[in-house]
This record gives sequence, structure tokens and C-alpha cells, in this order.
Amino acid sequence: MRAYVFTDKSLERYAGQFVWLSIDTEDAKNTAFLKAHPISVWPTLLILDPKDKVVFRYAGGGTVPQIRKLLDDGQHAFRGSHSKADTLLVRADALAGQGKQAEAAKVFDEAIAAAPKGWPSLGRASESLVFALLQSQNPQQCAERALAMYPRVRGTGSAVNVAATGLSCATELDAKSWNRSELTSGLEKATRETLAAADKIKMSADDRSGLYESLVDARDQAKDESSAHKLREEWAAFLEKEAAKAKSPDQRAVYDSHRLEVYLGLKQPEKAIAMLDQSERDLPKDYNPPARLISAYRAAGRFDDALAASDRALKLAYGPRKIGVYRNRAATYLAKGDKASARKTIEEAIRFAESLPAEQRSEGMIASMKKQLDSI
Amino acid sequence: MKRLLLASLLVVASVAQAKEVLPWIENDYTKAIARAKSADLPVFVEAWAPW
Repeated sequence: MRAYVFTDKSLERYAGQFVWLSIDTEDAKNTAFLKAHPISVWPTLLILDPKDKVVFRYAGGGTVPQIRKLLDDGQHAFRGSHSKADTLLVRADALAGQGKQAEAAKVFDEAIAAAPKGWPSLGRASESLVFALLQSQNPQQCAERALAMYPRVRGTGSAVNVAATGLSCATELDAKSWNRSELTSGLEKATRETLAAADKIKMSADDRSGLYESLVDARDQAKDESSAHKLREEWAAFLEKEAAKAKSPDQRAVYDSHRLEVYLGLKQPEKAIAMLDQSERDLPKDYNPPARLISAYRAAGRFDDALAASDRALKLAYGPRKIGVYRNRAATYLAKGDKASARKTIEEAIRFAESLPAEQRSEGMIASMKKQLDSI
Repeated sequence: MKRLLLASLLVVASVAQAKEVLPWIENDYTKAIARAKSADLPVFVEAWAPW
């Protein structure tokens, strides 16, 4: 969003209507903020009143028109709620902001049930409901509510998150779920329909890419290799076209993570390597290109190049994300058959994870690495 | 959703461009809340990560 959206001149008129705060959640300077407002989806957009109370929360990014609508809705929420549904939505946003996702989901549902005809916040409330259910580890209800809400947001920007998030939840369901196949096929249809309407809806390229990703996951789950491959080819062509339109290396690199995923899925690591080499040259201070090169080189069987890329990434990385670089380095040692170095790398990662401030420290992550250490 | 967790889009280098349109306060929560109190304005927060 910083490369494309917040640079748009049409947002200038909002400059004096808000205080604008940018928070890099990886930066240790922001622990006080993270303690008050835990973040688990990136990006998350919040509107706080001057007493630091959440009046509006949105998990995800958007296009310029979507952001303008969010800013208008945010001002509306700040200047006073007008209906029961608005009041409930403010309460649900606050609960989600405190990390109480299951409780937030209940209140989002109450807000939707109380919605007056033509309620302008129905789309955002539906997206927030589905996200809250996803984050409260409730894929069953997430998929069910997404499928139920989809017809009410069909053809709008909100259909993207409702359909694709719902589909991701449905593919997570295990075989014991009695309506798994009904949910998966309904949400796959909704996601395809939304993708087909991409131009009409004017969704961001990132949203469109996210729809492909959910559809590919669903086809992989169904072990339908030929459809998954066809979708990946279509997805790669779309991303390449968008990247070619970028006006700067920053804008082009926005597509790198999805392009890496799709190239690896197509078993074309050499394409990912060429793309990331270019990004590393153009953005020498950014740790992402060398961090992503680790996976690309490993997929190509070039383990020493992958380890060299991990050295470069570790020099530039900071915050919790650095753990991912260590783990990727360890995976490369394992692929190379060097268990001793893999163990040493995971031990280093654990020491680093334990040194992070409480707000950035994840006990779950530390436990998972200790378990991994035992298995090497 | 995996897409958002992966999404990641943004790089630090673009922050300077964003400043041209909106007066961002970078990584200073206390300053933003103090300014909101004195001006009676809401705070818009973009919480992001450089990946």
C-alpha cells in the first residue's frame, strides 16, 4: 500500500482530518503500541480516538477508492455512531483490537443482524466477521458465515475477502466436517465469480492475486493437478503483466512474494532467481530479495548459493521476521544433508527469538523451534 | 488468511514517497496520541511489516 496507495494525490484532502501514524511492527521501538493494539494480520488499518480507543479496524489493504471509503467511514465512526449496528460495529472492532477474536466475531454477527437497509458498513463488517473467525481458529464457522454472507456482498470489493478467506477456511477443514465439500465448492464458485468480475469491481492487483492463490490451494487440496497447473500459469502471466507496468523497483517488488510462490509451484525456480537478483540489485537495503532467494536457490538444488543469500538476508533483517530467515537457512542445511549446521542454526534462531521484547516474542514459535530441534 | 500474511507487499524505501501526500508520523505512538489530543483528531494507523 505504501508503494501504490498512500502516494495517491486524491488522499491529500484527508491530510488534516487525521493524525497519520505508521507502525512497523517488526521495529522494537513499537512495543508499547503492540502491547495496546496487538496485530496479527498485515497490514492492519486502525482508527483511534484521542483517548487511544479503537473506533475502527480493518484487517487488510485496498485500492485508493477503497481507502477513501474507509477514511470516510472512519470519520463517521469517530464523530458519532448513528444506528445500533454502528454502535455494535465499534464494539466489535474494539474487541478485535484487543485480540479477542471469538468475542469480536459474535458482535460482528450482531451488528450484521441489526443492519438497517443499505447499511454502508455491511461489506466491512462481513469481511471483519470472516477474519475474526479465521483468527479464532474456527474454520468451520468461518467458511459457513462466508458462504452465507457472500450473496450480500457479491460484486463489491468486500466479495474478495469474504470469498477468498472463506475458501481458505474451507480448505483447512478436515474430512470429519460433514459439509466440507458443500462449503468448498460453494466458496470456490464464489471466488471464481469474483475473479471473473475483477475489472468491474476495480480490485487491487494484490487482491486479484490473492484470489488466484486461494483457488490454487483449493485445487491442490483436491489433488486436481491439471487445473492447479493451468491456474498457476494464468496467475503467473497476470503477475508478470502487473510487474511490467510498475513505475519503480519498489512497485515491481510488491509482486515478488506471489511470483516466487507461483514459480516454485510451477517448478520454475530459475525464473524466481532472475527476478529476485534484479530486486536485490535495485533494493540493496531490503532484506526481502535475499531472504526469498534462499527458497529459490534451494528449489534449484543450489544449496551453497542459498546459504550465501541467507548470510546477506541475516545482515539486513530485524525483528520477528529474522526468525523466518534462520529457519529457511536451517531448511537449506537439512536439504544439503548437514544436520549439525541445521541444529546450530535453529539454536541461534531460538536465542534470537528469546531476546525479542515481550510484545514481539512468540512462545508458540519458540516451542515449535525447540520441537524441531528434537527432531533433527 | 494466508494471502494477507504473505502479502507483505511493502518495502521501507517507499516510505519517503508516502510522506509527499500524507504527513506520516513514523513509529512514534506517543507523539501521535499527544497530537490527536491537542487537535481533537482521530489517529489513522497503518500497522505494517517490511516483508
